[in-house]
Amino acid sequence: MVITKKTYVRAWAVSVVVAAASLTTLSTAVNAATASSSTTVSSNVGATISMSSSGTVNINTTPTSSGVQTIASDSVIVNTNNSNGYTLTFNETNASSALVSGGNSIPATSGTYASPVALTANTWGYRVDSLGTFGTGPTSAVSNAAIGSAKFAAVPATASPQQLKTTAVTATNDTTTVWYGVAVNTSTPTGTYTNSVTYTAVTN
Amino acid sequence: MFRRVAVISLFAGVLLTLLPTQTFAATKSITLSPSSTALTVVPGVAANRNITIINDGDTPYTAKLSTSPYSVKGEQYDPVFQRLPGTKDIADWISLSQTSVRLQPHENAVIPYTITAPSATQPGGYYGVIFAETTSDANSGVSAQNKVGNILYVSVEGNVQQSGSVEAETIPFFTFGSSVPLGMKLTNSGGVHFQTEATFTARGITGKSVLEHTENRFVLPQTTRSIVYAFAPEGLGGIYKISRSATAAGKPTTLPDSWIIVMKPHVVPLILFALLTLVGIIIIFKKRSRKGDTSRKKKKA
Repeated sequence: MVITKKTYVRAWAVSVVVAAASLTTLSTAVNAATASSSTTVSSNVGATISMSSSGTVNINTTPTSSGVQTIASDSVIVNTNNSNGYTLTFNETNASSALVSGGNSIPATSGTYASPVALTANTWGYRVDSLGTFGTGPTSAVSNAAIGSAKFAAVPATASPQQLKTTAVTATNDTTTVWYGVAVNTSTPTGTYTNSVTYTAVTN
Repeated sequence: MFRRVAVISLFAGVLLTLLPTQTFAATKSITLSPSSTALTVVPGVAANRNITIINDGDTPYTAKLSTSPYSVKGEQYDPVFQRLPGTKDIADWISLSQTSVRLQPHENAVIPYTITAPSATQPGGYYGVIFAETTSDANSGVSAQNKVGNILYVSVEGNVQQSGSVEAETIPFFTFGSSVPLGMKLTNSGGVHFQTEATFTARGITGKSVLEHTENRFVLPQTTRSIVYAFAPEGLGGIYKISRSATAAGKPTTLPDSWIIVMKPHVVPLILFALLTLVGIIIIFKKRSRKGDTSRKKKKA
């Protein structure tokens, strides 16, 4: 058989049509085998509030006859995803406001939140820089230094918590530094004196 | 060879000694979820809920759970965890499945509880808190307990009056500072809490919006709550139209608009400089004018 140009063109046209038909069929087959569905993904972000602190603040002293003062801090860190923020309050955990060691005690300073005072020998207290009338500070940690002029107040009683901070937005590692100070002289018997305080945080 | 090894070892030893050592203080951390719960209860019928406590610190502790009344003091809404005279202590309505749980670091516990209002309870709003608190084994210094709360906003089902109002707090017409407090007061004169949606907007003199802020707050019955937003305009300040609105007991209220002028402190040196420059130009101009007059007089003579 002689393959003329005409025959060649016809064969080429037929093969193109066949190829196109095959591709269409395949496509249809593929489409027919494809199904789709949608899924909604949702995540419920719960409201939380958290707090962390050192747990224990040691304000150790080696007293002299004229008196020494030790000051150390606690960092209270609050996190909340409540868009209205939180309020932090602070009070004694128990009825006693003194640092107690057996039958001995170091009483709280006579200073109050409204009227803090410098520590005198054999008293202790707390302060927060720039809060109330404590003054702007900055307070620094000291150990067995001369009794200074930084003002302190007695930790408020259990039934009368003091507000340390209130915020209006979500909080991420929002820190409040609470300073504790004790001043003692040699009239205070040796011992391990302790007191317990409670920080409370609730959302606004 | 031996000398080289000795020198290298000595150098490494000195270097390790000089490297700063980092010590991590143990922290006690407690997380509570949710941080507040609003629910409606039927008198005499127990409502079941859960709270989750998470120890996300690196120290194990025993978490203590407790309940307390909840009220507020003043328009700033300072929280008070004591029963107000004449109100019910709903702490008695709450029954916790357990009052303590030991948590290792990064461990969490789900604590179920029920709230059952006594059968004869009047319809209205009642408020309490479930606290989760770390406990301390410390025996020296000042030990701190961390206490976080889930505030319960309980509505006892029944026919109860809901009413409230919105009042604008005065905004100063002129403020020399970097921010202006925009405030409003929400008063709840009904018998159950409502949640208000308070919106603050500010527009410049061209009408361009520079602030749109919304807050959602609970307002307890027979209380007034102040809601304040500190508006801090960008740039040097300017003239703004302030709009405020809020919902009280479900009813929207739009307060009258206020126009304010804000001038930021760092604008003052710029104004002074501009004034001094203007004064200087005027003085120079006047001097030149006088010189010109004198010359003309001399020529005439």
